[in-house]
Amino acid sequence: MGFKASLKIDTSKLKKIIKNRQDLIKHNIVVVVRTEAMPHLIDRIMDGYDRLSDRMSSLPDDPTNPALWRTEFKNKLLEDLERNLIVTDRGLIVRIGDKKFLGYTDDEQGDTSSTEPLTWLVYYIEGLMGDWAFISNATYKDMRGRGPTMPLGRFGEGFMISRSQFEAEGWSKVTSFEEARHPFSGFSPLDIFTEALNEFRMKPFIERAIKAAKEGRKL
Amino acid sequence: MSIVSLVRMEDMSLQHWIKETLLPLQWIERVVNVPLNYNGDKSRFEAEITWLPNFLDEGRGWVYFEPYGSTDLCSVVNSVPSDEQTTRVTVYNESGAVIDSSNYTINYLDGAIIASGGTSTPDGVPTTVDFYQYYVSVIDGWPGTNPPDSPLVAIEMGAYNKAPYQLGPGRIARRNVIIHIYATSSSERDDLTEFLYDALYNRHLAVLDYRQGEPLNYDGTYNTAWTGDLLQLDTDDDALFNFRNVRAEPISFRDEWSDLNMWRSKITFVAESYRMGLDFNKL
Repeated sequence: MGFKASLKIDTSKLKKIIKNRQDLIKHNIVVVVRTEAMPHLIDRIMDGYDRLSDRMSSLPDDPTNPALWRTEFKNKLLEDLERNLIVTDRGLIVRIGDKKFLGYTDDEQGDTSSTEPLTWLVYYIEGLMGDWAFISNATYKDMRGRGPTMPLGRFGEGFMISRSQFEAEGWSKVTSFEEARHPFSGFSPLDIFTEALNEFRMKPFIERAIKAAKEGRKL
Repeated sequence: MSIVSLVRMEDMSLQHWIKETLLPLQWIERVVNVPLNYNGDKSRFEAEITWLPNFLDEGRGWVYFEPYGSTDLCSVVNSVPSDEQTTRVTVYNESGAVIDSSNYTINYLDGAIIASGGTSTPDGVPTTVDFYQYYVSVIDGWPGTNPPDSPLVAIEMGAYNKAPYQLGPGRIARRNVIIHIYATSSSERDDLTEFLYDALYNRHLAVLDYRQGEPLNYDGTYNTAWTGDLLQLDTDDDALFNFRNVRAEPISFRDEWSDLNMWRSKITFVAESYRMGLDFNKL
């Protein structure tokens, strides 16, 4: 036995349905990445940042303590996210934590004189080999009889000096090295970005976006 | 007695390979006509420091192997010498004649000559010495507050994980390794970084067997029991350490800092090894 059937397909309507579903998936992914995935990654980076700050617990009011600029740092990451989330036909590009604002200057265009606190972080993230003292403006005045007349580089409110330089320049006349010793002396690197990225998984966020699109929900 | 593990052999092999195989290709210095002074407390002739960086620094010392392997950085070295050098160190007496090497023992870490007769040898009194020294210091782990002078290379094995490898009881270990490079100038940093990067990229390392000791004894003298054997696993396989995801990055700190932290870079990579069996570290 056999029978014949004719099937009439409205291809333009079908194309439109597929296009709409594609657009919905793309929209949902962008929303999930912007509102859930990247904030989650930033939170993980901030976990690492707090571990950096914990190392400074011995000097809570020290101007070099990253705990003092936590909000500023997080805002910078969020700003980066707003500025550098690029959606193209081929995919999604996100760039956060551009290292330049942290004082990395691996090209010749980097800012060499910034005293912005965030530019100090390069030393904390990459580790600081050797024994270092922090000379504050007050200590400088005790030693020289006047405040610094030139920019003090990265630290603004003071500068770092090695133990051998400290002894050679006679700073021990006004303070002992132990008193001025910076708690990050000799500390090993703590790469807060790589550790966060290693723990971060994008897949669950994408799956959530696609699931919502399958159900016809716009996030 | 502690059990020697595979990971310890891997870590030691990496350190020794960089110091004894790679760096002598380009990063050692010949120092000649260096005066020797007798130290009565230690009963040895000690070489004066005439050349910086100082060979007494941690991770430096004198070169104790003859040149070996290919000078081509792209070749994988599958054997290392078992014998002590014969041409890297030459000791002269007071009239400038060479003292036969059978008449003294060398402390390669301290740069010292221990004469067979205490204060002399049958060939005369050790008076001057020519030697090769390591220009780059090789440090195991992060050097902290007392690092040696630059240039130095600090090798740190960090986080790792293990995962199943193919069907059956095989496993793979992935160990994250960081090489911190501290140089004396930007050009030296770039040269040294590129040199090490090329040595690691797309390469593997044959793991050596250090259960009978290292090439040097703790007192800096040559370990005559050293064989340079490759490590054979209990499955009769060679132990290999494969390098993946090699990445180099300069870290340009600013000039308000000392030389030590100014010219830095780091090389990161994943070192993988494969094992059959459930006890990954069984040797």
